[in-house]
Amino acid sequence: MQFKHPRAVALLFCEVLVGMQAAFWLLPHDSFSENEKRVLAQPPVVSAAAVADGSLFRQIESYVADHFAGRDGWVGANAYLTQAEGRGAVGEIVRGRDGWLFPAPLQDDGKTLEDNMQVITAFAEAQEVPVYLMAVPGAGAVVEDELPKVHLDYPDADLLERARRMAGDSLRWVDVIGDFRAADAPETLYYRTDHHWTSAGAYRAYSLLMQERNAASVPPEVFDVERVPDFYGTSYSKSGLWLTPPDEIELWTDPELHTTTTVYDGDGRAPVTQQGMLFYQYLEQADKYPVFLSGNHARVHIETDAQSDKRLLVIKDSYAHALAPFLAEEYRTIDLIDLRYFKRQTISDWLRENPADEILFVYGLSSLTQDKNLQWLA
Amino acid sequence: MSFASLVFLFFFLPVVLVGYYRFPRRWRNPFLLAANLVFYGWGEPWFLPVILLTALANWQIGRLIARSAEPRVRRFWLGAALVLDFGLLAVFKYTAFVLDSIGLGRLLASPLPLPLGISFYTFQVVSYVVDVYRNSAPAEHRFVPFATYMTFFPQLIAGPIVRYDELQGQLAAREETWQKIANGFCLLLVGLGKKMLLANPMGQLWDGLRTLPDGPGLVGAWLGAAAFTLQIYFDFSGYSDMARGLGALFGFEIPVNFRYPYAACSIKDFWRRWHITLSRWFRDYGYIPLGGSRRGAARTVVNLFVVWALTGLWHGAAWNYVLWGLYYFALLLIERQLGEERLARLPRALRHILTMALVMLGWVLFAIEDFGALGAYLRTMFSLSGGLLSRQAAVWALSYLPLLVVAILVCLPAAARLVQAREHTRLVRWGAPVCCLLLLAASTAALVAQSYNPFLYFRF
Repeated sequence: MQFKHPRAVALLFCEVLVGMQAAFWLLPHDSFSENEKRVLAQPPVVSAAAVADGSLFRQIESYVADHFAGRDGWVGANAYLTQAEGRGAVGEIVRGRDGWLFPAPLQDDGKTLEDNMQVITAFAEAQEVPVYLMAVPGAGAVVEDELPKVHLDYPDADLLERARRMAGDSLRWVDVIGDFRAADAPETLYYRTDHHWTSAGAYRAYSLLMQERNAASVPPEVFDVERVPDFYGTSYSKSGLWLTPPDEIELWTDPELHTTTTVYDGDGRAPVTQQGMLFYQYLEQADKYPVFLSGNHARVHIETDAQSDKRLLVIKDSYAHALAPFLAEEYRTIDLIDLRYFKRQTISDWLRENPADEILFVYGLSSLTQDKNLQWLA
Repeated sequence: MSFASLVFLFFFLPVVLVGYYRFPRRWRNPFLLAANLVFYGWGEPWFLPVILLTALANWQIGRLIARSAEPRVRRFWLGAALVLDFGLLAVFKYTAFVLDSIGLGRLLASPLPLPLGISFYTFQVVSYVVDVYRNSAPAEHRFVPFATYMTFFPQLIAGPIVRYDELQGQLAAREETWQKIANGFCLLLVGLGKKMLLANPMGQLWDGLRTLPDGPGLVGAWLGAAAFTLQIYFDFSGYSDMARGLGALFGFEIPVNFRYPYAACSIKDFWRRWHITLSRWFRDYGYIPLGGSRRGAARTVVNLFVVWALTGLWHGAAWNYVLWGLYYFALLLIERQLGEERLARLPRALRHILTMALVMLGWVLFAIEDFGALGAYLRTMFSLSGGLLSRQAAVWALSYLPLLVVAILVCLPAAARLVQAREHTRLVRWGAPVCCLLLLAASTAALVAQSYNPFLYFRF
């Protein structure tokens, strides 16, 4: 087209490009991305070898992308544009009503869940002590009222039904989804901005487990509840929808109960021991879920002064972390083992040296349908 | 280097642009050549010798042909150039395909790396040697302009395929004006927007619908075909727009490559509008040398068959591309038999819909390399065994509906004509650059978001 002021237009475009580059050089570069939980790319190292094998160019590209001026702002703009177009409904994170960010429905490969259930069932059959399985559905399958109008179906109920049918008599099934769906206020059971259940959700699951054991559960009044604001969870980080209001995280503690927690990592780091099960230093960061048992580790050992002499082994993913404060009411010692990090021996070997009176599996359904580490059981 | 990347847009381009205009005129071609080589060697520097030696050999051969009046000598050098150029293309692009087709695929431990843009620059350089041989273009005696032409970064990777005589005059003397630069930027950003904001999401829709566990259903399958149809158009025409825009930034005029192909009312019309410079190349350097339509009906059919099989093969080294080419051979033959007058009697809208349905079907052949998967997809398109529209496909369709509408409007000429008719109004004069900047912003956001990888898995 014929511009009236072509010089101004041309210079404007040129200045925008040059200006963005200048911003890249002038603005300070972070080394860690809080939202992505990862170390950002390091400045590229120029060498003949790196040129020859092309790795230098990839290094430069990721460095430029990781440190691009206003990076999080661009990511947010893209996320909101995608929402405005309507395409968010089939994205990795589905924006619901009232600030809900749901992880997308699980992709079932038709095999992993079956394999995992087979391993767990075979393991349970070999045990002489009771074995419980607590499979936790995702928020999308429970908090259905907060889903957007257009969304893909959440298959959790079907998947859990399939898993339940595969579990033999030796494995005692804790029906979390049935109980959660019947709850009066299902929206209190999950975080809006994180994929985990809340302490209220974990408490409900704990009561359900006690019913399954034919035992009474400790009433909620026993616990002091501390509310910590400004919790931005994993769904928030993934979504890029930065204007979503934060969650509140509830910390339930029983002032009468005394516990000692020891954290073991599989990689040779020295074990860390502390009083209580909450790691308050994690409340400083945006994602506060690691306040429970300090996040993922190979094994966490909890000693309690509960009125019990029972020993519990929990084989689990991170859903168990919020459950631990309630389990501590019922057992003298609890070992929580995460098979993704616990690689020195199988659980069967571990049990020979460290017998337990009860065994509990706590897994998010997402792990059961995707995680391939369960073969470390037997 | 890809145009649709942060490094290109915000680092390579401003540096080359400012550098180019800082240099006096006689240094501008050498500077562009240097920029071309950085652009080409970026990521895969080991391809630089291949393209540079190709340029050197063809330049030298062009001079040798021009120097000799002896037809035998000229023919010999032409043959040498064709063997060299097509030989390199064949070795790099088709070795694995040929070995696979004759059952010797195991001989090749890993596929040969494909030098960037080899399909395009081979065709460009062949057009040069043939033109010199035919005396329809003079040989270039200086290496720098020739190498600048052959490695010209705006159209090196994905066309348009420019003949040497189209650029020769511009390489020697061209006028860079603010008007050209302003328009070049607009074209560049429109192309970028087509790629990042339409082609990529359409690609996601196509992938999403194709991999639904319960299948998409009949309507969903056609929707998937439509998504791929839009993806490939916006991808390719977006790149061509960017190429033309970039050329204009340095004062070059690069020919149009797409003229609203999805507005076509017949298959012949479609191919007059789709990848124009490629069709032109196959006409001038394939069909016509074979005799075109001047040697009788039977020979014409054979010529068409060969040209369309090669057109298909040029697009990719797999049988489905050949099938796609022959599909058009068949369609064009049928169209020819029916006669243009008879077809023109059908209502225009019906002709358009029919043409687009056939084009979409063609793109499905093009998109799916595996014949088993292709067959399954075609079955979904033509039978109700998978239902009309699966629940999941309906969700995909609904959530992409607004973008589909936008994409269809942009790929048809009506909306663009509306704007062009108001080119001199204040709204368009001010609105166009603002819209282009918004396109840049949205595309940048999409580019940055590609690099955003929350490392959260370990936290589950």
